[in-house]
Amino acid sequence: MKNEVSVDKAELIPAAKKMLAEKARFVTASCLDLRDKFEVIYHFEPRENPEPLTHIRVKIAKGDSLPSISNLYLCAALIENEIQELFNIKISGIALDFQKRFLRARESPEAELLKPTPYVSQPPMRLPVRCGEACPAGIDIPRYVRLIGEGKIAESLAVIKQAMPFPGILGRVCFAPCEHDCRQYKQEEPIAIRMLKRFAYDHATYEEKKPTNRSGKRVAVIGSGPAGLGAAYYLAKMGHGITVFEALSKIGGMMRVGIPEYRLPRKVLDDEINMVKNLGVEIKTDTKVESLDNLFKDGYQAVLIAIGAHQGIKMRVEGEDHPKVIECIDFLRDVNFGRKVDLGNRVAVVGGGNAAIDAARTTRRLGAKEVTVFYRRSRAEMPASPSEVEEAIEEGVKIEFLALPKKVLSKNGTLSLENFRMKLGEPDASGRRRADLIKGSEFSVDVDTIITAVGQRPEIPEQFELRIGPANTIVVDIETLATSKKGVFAAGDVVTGPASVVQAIAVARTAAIAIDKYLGGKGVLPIWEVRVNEPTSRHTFLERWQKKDKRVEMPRLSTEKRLQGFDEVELGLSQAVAVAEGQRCWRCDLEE
Amino acid sequence: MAVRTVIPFGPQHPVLPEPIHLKLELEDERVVGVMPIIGYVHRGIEKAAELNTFRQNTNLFDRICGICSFIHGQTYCQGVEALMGVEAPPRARFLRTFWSELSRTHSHLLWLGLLADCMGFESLFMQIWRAREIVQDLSEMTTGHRVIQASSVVGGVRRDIDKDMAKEVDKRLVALKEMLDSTVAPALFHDATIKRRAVGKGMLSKEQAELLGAVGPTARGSGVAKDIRQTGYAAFKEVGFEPVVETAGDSYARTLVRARETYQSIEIMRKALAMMPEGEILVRVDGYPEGETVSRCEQPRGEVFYYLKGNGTNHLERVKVRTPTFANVPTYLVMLPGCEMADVPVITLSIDPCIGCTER
Amino acid sequence: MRMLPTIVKNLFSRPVTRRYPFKDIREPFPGYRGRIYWDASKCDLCGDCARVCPSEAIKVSLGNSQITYDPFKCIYCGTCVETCLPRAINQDKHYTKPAANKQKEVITISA
Repeated sequence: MKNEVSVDKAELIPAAKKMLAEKARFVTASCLDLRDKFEVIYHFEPRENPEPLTHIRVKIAKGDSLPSISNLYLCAALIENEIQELFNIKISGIALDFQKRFLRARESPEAELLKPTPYVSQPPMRLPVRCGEACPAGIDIPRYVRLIGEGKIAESLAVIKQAMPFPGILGRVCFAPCEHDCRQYKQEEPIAIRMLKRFAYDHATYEEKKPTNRSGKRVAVIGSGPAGLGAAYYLAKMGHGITVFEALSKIGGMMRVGIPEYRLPRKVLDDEINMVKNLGVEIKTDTKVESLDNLFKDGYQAVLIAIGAHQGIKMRVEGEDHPKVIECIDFLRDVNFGRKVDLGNRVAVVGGGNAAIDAARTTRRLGAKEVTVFYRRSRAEMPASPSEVEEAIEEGVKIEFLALPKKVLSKNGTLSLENFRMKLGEPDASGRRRADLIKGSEFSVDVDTIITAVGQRPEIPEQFELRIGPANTIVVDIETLATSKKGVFAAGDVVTGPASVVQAIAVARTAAIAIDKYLGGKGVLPIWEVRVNEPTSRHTFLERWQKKDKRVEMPRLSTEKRLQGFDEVELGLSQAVAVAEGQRCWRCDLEE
Repeated sequence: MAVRTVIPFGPQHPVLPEPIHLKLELEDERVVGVMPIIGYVHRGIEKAAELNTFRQNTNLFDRICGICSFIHGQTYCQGVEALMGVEAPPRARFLRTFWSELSRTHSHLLWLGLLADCMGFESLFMQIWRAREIVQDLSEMTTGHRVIQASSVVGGVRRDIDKDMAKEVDKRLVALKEMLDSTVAPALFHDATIKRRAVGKGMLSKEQAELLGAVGPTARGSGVAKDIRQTGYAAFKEVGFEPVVETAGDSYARTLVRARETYQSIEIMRKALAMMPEGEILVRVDGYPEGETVSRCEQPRGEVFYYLKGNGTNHLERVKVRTPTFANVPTYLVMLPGCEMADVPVITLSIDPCIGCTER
Repeated sequence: MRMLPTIVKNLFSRPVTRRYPFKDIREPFPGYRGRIYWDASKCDLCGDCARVCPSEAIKVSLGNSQITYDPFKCIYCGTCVETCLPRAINQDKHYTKPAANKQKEVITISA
């Protein structure tokens, strides 16, 4: 404060005398409890002008006594009595001494002196948010949405990269559990978090910091899918030498062979893979790993198995061994490798997940005229993303709900798929309603090709000698992801069964930490702080008066253009639209 | 032979509106000594302020007192804004001026009614409180509550007064002025009974007022021309302000100061509404308060003083409040001895005690 | 004698007081800070109102999907109304009526 002077206990009375000589008015005295001592500040007002005030500060130790100035200023007697009583300080020589009966009657009970609350200066608090907790990878979602809303795109990309290495891929294919948990979902306007992530990736660049020290250890990663590449990224950052073994001739795992090009352009995928390669990771294609012991003999100290789940599950109906009944993942792999597939004009796809919809839309692009998807439950129970289903219907895919294949008949080259009609029954363990057969309701559909997409399972070579669990997945320890063999870890779809890209990347991080600890490291991922000038509180009161906006619409290619090839369907947001969407966020992580 | 008795006056007494406790030492019918004791309604507000966040404290400080409520909140918000380096927007400053003058009108009318009541003049008391109803209706119309305005927040004010409401407010202020002219003015300024009960009672000379640190109408009734509104906080610089001063130093002078201030407040309110600029009423306040500051405003009873200390967290470390009645209570020590016992209520009431404020 | 015109005028004019609560009840002005009530379909149990409330009159229980509101602790400041982002809390202009015992209100929120 301006005009303050600190004095000792002995100089207090002379200073007060000086104030009296200047005819200053005594305003009041404030007492503060500074943990180990008290501080009393006497405020005086000068005679002529109301400002500036003069402040005299005195510090005394606890248990010490203070001389009273009430002999000079009688009006100070009241406040000194109060300080004496409230703070338990002894003030000697007060003109009107109430002897600690100022605030209490004779009969009132003794009160306890409350201790001061210990406050530690702390940075502004951030509250737990629903979108952040829903993300399996733990990305700091409210922060990066807020930064886009302020126009700081590069910082936003840096925040995403803090938690997850592949924003380009997830910005296009993530199924976004965060959007379902957004608080504005109840009013049907959740923030378009995935589109903003894609916008940040498209419009900003991020410098990857190369690892500085090498540990000298080598790790082999089998499989170059999202789990394998993610683990390679993290382990390379921690300084290990990584080699990724890929059995196919192209890198990317399910991201390349399962997800079609119109959802994830190959350029984006290749850019992300090159980013991993630039960290010093060696990727060997066309190399199928036959034996784990050979890897250990070649000098690798740890092995991570991330081969994914690529083997299709059979429908288990009669007649499905016909050559024109093809499995979905095989079909998509053939298409993505550029091999020709003869589909004919009428195609039936059996299944209701994202793989089935991807296959159906791909067949439309390859020229099939009538494509029908057969799913045994209704639309509400379909596991595919609603926007994918909508786009499929726009592209002319028909969906036959409540139909379960019974058998496949073939006569002169045409297949006939006989189905049962289903009806919905009670909910099962997962909460979705069960499908019950209606007896005698069979109907047949004539098609040229049948694609089955009812599920996938991992295919684990027997010579790995690992313990296998239910649904042909590898059994691992939950925290360390270690398998039954020493030095061998497993992560991704091969452990959980078919899941999603973001879950594979999230578990790759756990695997990298576990492998680092196994190799003798501390298991600490290098994280670079993003320092940016951002607000620390919400501003609900002012923003309530603004008009409420709706959720942004992603511009898409027209249906005719889409079916002409495999160009990307979603076109991306412009800067103004993305910034407006970022400002629509309610900023649930900030305090009010 | 004189008989000395000590009688307690208050805290519960039919004529007293406030729970102040005075120990009167009487010799026959004359008061020879007085000891004011306060603490009947101590609620520990300064301690409670340490447990709230600095934004929630506004609600706490609005409720230290009922009639000086808005100005407590305003002083606190001004202090926190000074700590955080934020300037309230101009329209908010004018609105704060309007509501603080509304508080002042309310308080002075209440006090004038109580003065009439303690003299026994019940019908004047009722008439003045009828005028006060207009003020309370204005408060309800503009802020949402008749007594606790709770409009000031850190960074500005919460509610706005748009053009239609401003016209309505102006109409009612004119009606209030007419009602005052017909009830208060002839009684206070010309009535012989009131003059006989108030003139010459409770003398406080200018030197005594300065030495004892009296503030507000108590000091201005004795010739000390000090008013914090002269420093020009809120919109007082734009509206322009001169303090109302009387020199007689007795209870009647203090009554006249308050009556004249009521008229002055109505004028200031009408001027503030007319001069209010367009703009926003709330500005964004980000971060946590750190540092020390002193904030002072003029309440109806005098100068209220806030000392705030922040340490960079969401909670303020110390808030010290010194209300004007706390500074005016020592004047009892010179005003009361020498008067007769029947004059004690009028003199006690003439400093306008507000014990809820004093003993936060 | 000077009082005579005043006496006569007051004898023949109607009283100024209102016969509350039997007739002549004035409606509160719009914007009066009265009763607080919830819109159960909009609330998503975030807990902001409970954090901001100066008198701790609101308790949010995520497990039971319930909000417990104590109208006798509430000071009707309106801060929760301003803080609620889905605008589930609103303030009426009619005040809470007095009651015989202090009972808290429990509002169940649907998913």
